[in-house]
Amino acid sequence: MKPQSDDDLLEIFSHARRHDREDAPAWRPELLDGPRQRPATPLRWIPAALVAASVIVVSVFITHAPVHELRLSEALPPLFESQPGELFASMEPSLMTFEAPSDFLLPDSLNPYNP
Amino acid sequence: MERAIADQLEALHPDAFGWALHCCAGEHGRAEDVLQNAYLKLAQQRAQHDGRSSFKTWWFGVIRFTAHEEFRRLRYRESLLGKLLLQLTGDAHDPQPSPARKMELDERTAELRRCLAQLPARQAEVLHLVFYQDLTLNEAAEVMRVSIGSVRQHYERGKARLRTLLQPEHLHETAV
Repeated sequence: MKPQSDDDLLEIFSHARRHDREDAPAWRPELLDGPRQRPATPLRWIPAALVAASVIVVSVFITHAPVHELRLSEALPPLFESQPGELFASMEPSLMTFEAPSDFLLPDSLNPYNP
Repeated sequence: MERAIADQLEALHPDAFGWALHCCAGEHGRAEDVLQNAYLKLAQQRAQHDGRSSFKTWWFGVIRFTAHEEFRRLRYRESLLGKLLLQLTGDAHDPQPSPARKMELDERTAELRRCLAQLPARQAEVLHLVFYQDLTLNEAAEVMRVSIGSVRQHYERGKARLRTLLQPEHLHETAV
């Protein structure tokens, strides 16, 4: 039982209650009959869409990736501009490689060109 | 669903809607959604009355919890990301009542709702449960899942604050 002093609040709330009752939606027993199909939420398709977008991006990247055909040696600038030729061509042949006309007279053990 | 439970739900339906309306700050559409989702929980047996409290307090607790879930969802939808997704999906939802609906809203009821909205949520809840739903303080404590001492405190403070807010001069100030 509410104290008498709360009658003012009770009256205001009772008025609101009467008003809300008139405004309440009708009772629908079918809501309790079985599981209702939940409305599709707008967020449900997002993971699938993200996966599909990722697959498309990766496939485009793979198929349209630029092909690097240049080799490194060709890509780098030349350090020395020189004519091709024999290495150390300007140097005198050493004594070890010198071949004298009388070398055929030497014994076989001393002649490196006639084993 | 058992016939007895269905009968109880039918008898409680108008008051349950009033409670859902309070939990949704008077937004009619949201209150209908909340109540429908609460019925869905029962139908799918995601909520079951275990008999530890009265059916009414248990059912009002389910509605309150469902309204809080709905509020969190709404807060997400109102976030920047949510708004962006709503733009993309075109599923815009206006939580405000239509102008026609505003005209229909009774002025005294609207005043009460405005004043309750200025109270802390717990105080407004306990006042609604006691004066509108005619629950005892113990039952209100069960619905709100707080101690009876806490409910009593919210009740006394809420009453005093609501009376101040309902004073004509205060109503004039808030209206201006």
